[in-house]
Amino acid sequence: MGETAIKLSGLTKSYRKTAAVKRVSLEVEKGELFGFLGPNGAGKTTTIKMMTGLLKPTEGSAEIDGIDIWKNPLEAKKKIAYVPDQPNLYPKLTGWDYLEFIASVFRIPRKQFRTKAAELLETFSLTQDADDLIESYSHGMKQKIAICGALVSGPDVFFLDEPTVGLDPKSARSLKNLLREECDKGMTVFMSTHILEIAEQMCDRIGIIFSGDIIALGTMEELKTQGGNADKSLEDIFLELTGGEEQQDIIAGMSENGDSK
Amino acid sequence: MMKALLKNQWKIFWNTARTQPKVNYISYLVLFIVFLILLNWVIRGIWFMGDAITEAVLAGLLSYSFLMMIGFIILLGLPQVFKHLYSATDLNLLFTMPIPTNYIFWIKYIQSFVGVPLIMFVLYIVPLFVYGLFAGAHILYYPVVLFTLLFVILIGLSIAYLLNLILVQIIPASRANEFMSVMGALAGLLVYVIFLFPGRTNEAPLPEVILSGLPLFPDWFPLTWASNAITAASTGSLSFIMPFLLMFVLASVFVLVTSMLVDRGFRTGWVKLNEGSGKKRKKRTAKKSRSKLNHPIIAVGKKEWFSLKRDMREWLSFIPIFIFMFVFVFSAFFSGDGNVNDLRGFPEITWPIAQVILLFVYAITNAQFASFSVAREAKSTWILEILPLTGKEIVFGKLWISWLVPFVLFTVIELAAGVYLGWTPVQFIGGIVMKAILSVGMSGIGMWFGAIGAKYNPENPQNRLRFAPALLMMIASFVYFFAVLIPFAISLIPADAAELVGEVGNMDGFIGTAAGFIYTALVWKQASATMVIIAGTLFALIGSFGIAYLFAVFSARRIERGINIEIVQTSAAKPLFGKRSGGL
Repeated sequence: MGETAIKLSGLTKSYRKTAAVKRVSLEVEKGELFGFLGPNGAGKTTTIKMMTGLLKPTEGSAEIDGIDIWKNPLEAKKKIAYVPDQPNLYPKLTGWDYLEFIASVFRIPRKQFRTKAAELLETFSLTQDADDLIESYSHGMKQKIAICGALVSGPDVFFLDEPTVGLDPKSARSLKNLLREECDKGMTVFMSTHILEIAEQMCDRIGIIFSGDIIALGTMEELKTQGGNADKSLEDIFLELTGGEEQQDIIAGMSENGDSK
Repeated sequence: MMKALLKNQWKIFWNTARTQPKVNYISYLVLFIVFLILLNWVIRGIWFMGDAITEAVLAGLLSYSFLMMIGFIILLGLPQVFKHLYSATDLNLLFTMPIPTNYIFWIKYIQSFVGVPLIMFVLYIVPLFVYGLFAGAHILYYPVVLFTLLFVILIGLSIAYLLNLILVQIIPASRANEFMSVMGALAGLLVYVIFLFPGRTNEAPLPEVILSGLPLFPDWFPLTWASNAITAASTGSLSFIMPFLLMFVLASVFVLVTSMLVDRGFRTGWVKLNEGSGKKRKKRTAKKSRSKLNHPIIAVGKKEWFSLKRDMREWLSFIPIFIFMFVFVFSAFFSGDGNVNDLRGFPEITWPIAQVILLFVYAITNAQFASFSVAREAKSTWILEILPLTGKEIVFGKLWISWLVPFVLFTVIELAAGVYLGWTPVQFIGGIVMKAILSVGMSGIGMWFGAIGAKYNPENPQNRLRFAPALLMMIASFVYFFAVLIPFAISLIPADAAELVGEVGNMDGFIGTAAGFIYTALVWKQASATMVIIAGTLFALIGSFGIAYLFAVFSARRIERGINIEIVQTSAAKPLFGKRSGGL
């Protein structure tokens, strides 16, 4: 077993009497690309926010490389980067200003910053837009500059919430390749997504959260064997685990009709 | 079609009202009570003074109050109209549907009527009807009042629409964000000019002219028509017909001209504002060679500076200060036969007074400017929160730039004033250095209030502090101002100026009170100058930096604990786990 990059122990978030995340415990190894799936409102973003120090857990802890993000936030934050699903960035900064700001905070040497920033901007086809104000960017461009900002510091653990939403196919491919490369070099990625195809293709392990509970966890192969789903796709497994009875009937009916045709 | 649109608007209005947060209902109730009190006060006034209001006086009062009405509709309505015409979220949908642009426009026009114009209407018609009853006005009076008021409102509202429809064609789309704030400033200026008008046409003061029954405006002025129509109708004279018809024609012309601009000003204006500058992006490579990385504190301040210098709206918070400095201060000094040239060559008088005024200006600006820097983060708060920055680094980063910007701005003004008024180099350096020191404390105080009371209203970016913290901050700033006046005076003003300052201290009002403080300090200075100067400077240094540091530490702690920026929203409807506030 490798080194643990992320460790969640009984992580819980409750709003009054309702629990959004219920005693979630899991470990993600260094260099792993972890896919975090779940239907809308299942608790994905809440979990990620607790892991990144944006939301205080009601109970439990989240550790990054052995550092509790709520007990020693500064040290933990030096190791992480995060790109939310809606990257609200500083509208009056240019893309380049934003990268400079992030690099200044992380105290990256100037030469290293220049090389890395240029490389990232090139990867995401932003080189020629870097001197424009972020407010003039499209949603996809904002997403891309947020990813560049996150990666410019060379984080140990990278959290992404629905990263491919808004990205054009080329950028989505670039991101997938980049994440795989970085993970092979030792970076850990914790990514939530709705696009099951991406999760199936890219992720080393997958966790499925539903109504605040982790209901499935493992590699693609493990998920398939766990419930006798050997011939099923991730989509089938996901729908089976997260769909209600009614939805399952509809799905079953649809597939039967499909088969009969 | 129009019916469907109106029904839709009604449903939106009803659902918005239904889903308001509870606290909003309380605010509405309070506002309604205030409105009733105001109305009651006006009615009582009329009942009390009714006998003194002759027909001529009533004509003057009506002309002036109609002018006020138009002024208020423009002032408060101009930005509202902009919102309705160009930034309403439903326009995106409405323009894609087979609805004639004119229909959409008139819906927006009606929507604008329900708001400031409606309040003005009620606020005017009730007292006017009460006066009618009191004075035993002819039955014609009531419908004439009703329609004349409507005509005046239509004229005011149409002016607000016309200005929007015309300006949107002139202002570049790249400045769309700032457009609304500029509109607000422009409205202020326009109304200021409107209110100057009666003063320009008469030699005597305005209340005197009104009470003496002298005509306020020339006969050709439309508001004279409105007042003539009403006064004539009150006696049952048919001479009301002509001015009444003229008002009707004028209102119709305004509405007609407005509707003629709909296609160019409304639809194309909206398209223009939404499509951006239309310029092709300049293809260029990033400015790699110029890249400069800084210490995190400097980087935070630099980021603030970029947001400040690239957004015209940020500078609008200085407008009230400049109005204060140039309108109130100058008019206070130079009312009557006074002339600015008279003050040249008397640095011993002008310098201390200017210092007190400038220090006062710092007191009201620095704290506010610093406090705004917290809410400026708005929805980007997650960035600072995710970065390995300590609370102190964030606070000091915001503090240095919040202090520097007003300092540079006011120092430039001080230098210009000083050169003109002939101050000595010692006065220049002493004053600037002392204010540089003392203003740090003010910024520190503001930062803390910003940390505890940050609020962000996407529709009004200037509204960045909750009411109670804003009020407390103002009080704290003034307490600090009066506290620092003492070391300031002790250190810098020569002891032999005590008598001169003492004379100024005999004056009434703010300047007199301030001079009184300085006078007391100077009396102490006459006893032991060196010791007092040293003590004063030390007190200022320790006091200002101590307070700044203390409040910065409090702010940093608050930020590290996580502060909420209240994101203003008009509806209470929210997802079950949706966060309503931005956190830092």
